[in-house]
Amino acid sequence: MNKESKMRRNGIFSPSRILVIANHTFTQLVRMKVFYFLAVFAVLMLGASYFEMPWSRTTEDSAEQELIILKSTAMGAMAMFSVLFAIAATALLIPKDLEDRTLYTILSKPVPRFDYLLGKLIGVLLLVGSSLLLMDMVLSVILNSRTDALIAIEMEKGMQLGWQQEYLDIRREGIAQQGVTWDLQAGIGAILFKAIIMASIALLISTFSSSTLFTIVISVVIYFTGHFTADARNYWLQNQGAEASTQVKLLSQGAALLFPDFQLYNIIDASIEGKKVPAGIFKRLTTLTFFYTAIYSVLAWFTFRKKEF
Amino acid sequence: MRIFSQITVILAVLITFGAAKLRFEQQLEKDMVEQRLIQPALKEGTNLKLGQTSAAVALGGLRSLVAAVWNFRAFIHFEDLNWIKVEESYETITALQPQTTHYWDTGAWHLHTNAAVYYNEKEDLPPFRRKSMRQLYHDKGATFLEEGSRQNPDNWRLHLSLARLWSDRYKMPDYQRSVEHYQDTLACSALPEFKRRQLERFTFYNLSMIPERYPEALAMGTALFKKTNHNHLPNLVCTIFALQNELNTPLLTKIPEKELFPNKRLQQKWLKNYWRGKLDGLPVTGVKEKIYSLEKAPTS
Repeated sequence: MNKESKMRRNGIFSPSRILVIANHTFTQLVRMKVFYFLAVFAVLMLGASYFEMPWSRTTEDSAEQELIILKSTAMGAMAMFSVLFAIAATALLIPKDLEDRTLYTILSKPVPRFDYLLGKLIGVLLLVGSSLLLMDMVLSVILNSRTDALIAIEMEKGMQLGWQQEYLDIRREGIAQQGVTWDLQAGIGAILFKAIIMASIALLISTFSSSTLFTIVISVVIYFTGHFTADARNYWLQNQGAEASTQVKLLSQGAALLFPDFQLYNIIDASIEGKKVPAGIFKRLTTLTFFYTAIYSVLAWFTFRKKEF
Repeated sequence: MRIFSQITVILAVLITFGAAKLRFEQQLEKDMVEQRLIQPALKEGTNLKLGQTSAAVALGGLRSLVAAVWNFRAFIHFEDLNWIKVEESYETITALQPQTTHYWDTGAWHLHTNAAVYYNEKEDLPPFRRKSMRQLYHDKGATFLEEGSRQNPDNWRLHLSLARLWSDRYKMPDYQRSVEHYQDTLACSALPEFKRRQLERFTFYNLSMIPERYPEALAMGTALFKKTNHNHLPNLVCTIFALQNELNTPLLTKIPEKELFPNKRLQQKWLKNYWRGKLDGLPVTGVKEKIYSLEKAPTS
């Protein structure tokens, strides 16, 4: 093997090396028995799906509303679990490697620090992604069976009341729109995007933080602040704060520039309500997520590159 | 010292990236609001009502989850017959999820039906108090639905709920208002076509309940009758018949009986059924007389 190919192998970016680290991180996290939460999620889903809501029988579209409430419960839980996983798992990574002394073993080898960080991040994202996938599967199975049952009930009711075929078809379509659709998957995609951004933020903080708790607390604060970014940006750009103090103006500008805008990812609510999520909007969210993740990852490498242990 | 220089660089990069993404995010937000994909900001005071935990969860982007939990909580208040709490709960729920029809509709139903009936039948209250409390909660329900319609102007279901509320003869009907709400429902672009014909007929029936608007009602009924055979329904035909009698419509402009009714036998049957439902408030001029004359006439 010549010198040039050796250099390429030990270059700053090696997909195979990153995948090895990612795989190791994923296994490490799975061994922490994090998947037990799925039992809680499944019980929550089963409970929500068999909960009869007689008071909802006031509207014409009560079947749709029952499905909306089922999806709200499921996707709310998915969003909460995924963000918690993303923050806690990432915050644990570097301190755990330090404690186990794995970090010294890895970094003493010709592994670039960027590859190490990226591998760790991808490992966490694999965990979050597979958890979301499993939850999505549980939701899809339960939602699908509930949708079929509600369609059958509605059709039987319609036949008894002598509804026209046209109306029966519209009712079927209306209820099916609240079942398992691509728009629902777009909402779950937005949950994943939020978790990806939070994992990369937690990674950045953990590179200069000396405590796991500090990383978690700061990440959670950033997560909540991110939901006000849109308000801060509008306040600043639309000159709503013409009469506000300089401090308030500076604060809104700072928040708008420094924090990610998580309100944009709230298409989750729209997908719960069965609205169409245009592909263009979803692509733009994907682009935004990519840039956020890239910036935070590069900054994490910047602080980590010369860190001494 | 090194950590400070690192933080300075990080902040500088984040600010530069923030400035670059600003317009992109603003445009994306604008497009998403236009397509009603994201919710408006929470109303002032909603955080206080939610309590610290729920507010934190809601602000964390899980408004649908908090609303679903509060919906369950509202049901417990309903079981306890605590109407003040039910009302407060639905105000909070609709502040969290203003675009969900179900929450507006259910909240209003608890107020204008359940709470109103509860007070009306509460025997330990004096009659005047019972009546005023019934009126109060009925109006609260209507106001709640009106707020829902104001926030969702193209939501035909909410307009229809209002129309049904004001045309419900077991509640406190106000046909002028129900007609307005039926017209608002018909004006919604999202209204499915199959519903339109039915709602046009309902608008006509409600107009026919208002004596001052009989001419308008007859014009609408005639138009509906001529529009399609699907509208040649017993109640619609009989109402046109009674309105024509009531308004003494000239022979040249009125729809002849032969055209209105398929045959004498069905005319007799439909008019009898219509007469039985005279308490509904629809005009009945000439109906009784016609039934007698048909009964006396030899069957063909």
